[in-house]
Amino acid sequence: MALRKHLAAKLVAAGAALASMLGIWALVRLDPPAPADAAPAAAATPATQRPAQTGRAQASKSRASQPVMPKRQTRTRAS
Amino acid sequence: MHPEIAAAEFPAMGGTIEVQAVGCDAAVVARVQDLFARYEAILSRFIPESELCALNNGPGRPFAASPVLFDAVNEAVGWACVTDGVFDPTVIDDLESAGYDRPFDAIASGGLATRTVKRARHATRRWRRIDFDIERNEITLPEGVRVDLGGIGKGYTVDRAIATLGMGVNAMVNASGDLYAAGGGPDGDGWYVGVQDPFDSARDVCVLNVSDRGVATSGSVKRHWTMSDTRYHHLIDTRRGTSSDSELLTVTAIALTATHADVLAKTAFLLGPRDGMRFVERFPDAECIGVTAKGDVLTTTGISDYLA
Repeated sequence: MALRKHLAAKLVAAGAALASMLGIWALVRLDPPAPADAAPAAAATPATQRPAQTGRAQASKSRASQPVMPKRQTRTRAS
Repeated sequence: MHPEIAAAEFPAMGGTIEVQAVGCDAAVVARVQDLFARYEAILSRFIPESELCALNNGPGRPFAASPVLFDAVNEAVGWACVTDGVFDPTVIDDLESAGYDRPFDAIASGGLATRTVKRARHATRRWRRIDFDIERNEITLPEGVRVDLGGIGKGYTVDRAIATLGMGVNAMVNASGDLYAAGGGPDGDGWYVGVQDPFDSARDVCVLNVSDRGVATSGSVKRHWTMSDTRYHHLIDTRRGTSSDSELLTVTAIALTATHADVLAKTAFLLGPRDGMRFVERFPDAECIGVTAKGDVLTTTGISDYLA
């Protein structure tokens, strides 16, 4: 009798564990992670380099810390 | 989905002209190309048959100019007034003394190796003595004065090219770095213009977002050469009559027209970091970015309005 109760308890515990796992799996399936290319815009868009400004006419910043640039359609250069 | 864009590149004025016209057909590009060819034939000092050369060959008497030449010379002298002669369209003698007496391609290929330096007598403010007869479209150059439109030629032609495309056009014309961006660009959010890093041509110092603005860059990093162990470039300091020793490597200006941007970029370069930025600040619709030989980036205070 005690053995039967013990096996029944084991069965219930195993069922509960299985149900828990299935539940977690179902939750995961219902809420899949965002694909890499659907990351938030703020993370996908590089920061824009903005030269520092310290006064009406003068501003300076080292060129050393240039981040990735946004799109461009043409360029200006010394000719 | 992007609208149709007519785009092309073609050689003119010693460089490459780039055209992008949104919602237009190839005929628009052909009109721009034709205009550049006509204006170069009129405004170049390196084409002996050009109308400018004819003007320069006949000082001391009235020269009946075409509307294009009259307007271009008049505008160049006007900018000399505005900049108090820092921008000077009469520096041919100084340019030739520095060795810039032929198209830059010929100089870059080693044409100066055996030349000797012949210094012309330096004079300033010669542009003040140029006379314009608006009624007759006549220009009279004083003896000893010749005009060089290299300082505004590309920007001036870019502005006229855009004008021929009509009001409300969505197009960009870029003449070797001097450009005008009209309308909202291919995506409707403005035109994105990279500002080339003078230390690394593959990189940009920043990217500008402009609409209905001219953008131009001047500097000593491209058109320079060595003669008799001395380094020269094409931006003449009119106070000394030779290549400027500005601490700036490049200046990029944004203004209401490509011509204005062209003049502001050159003037700011010649004035140097401090005075150059202050000069551009005087114009409410203009901004600029300068890069010094030390690698510092200087800007006017409103530049953030144009940063992408």
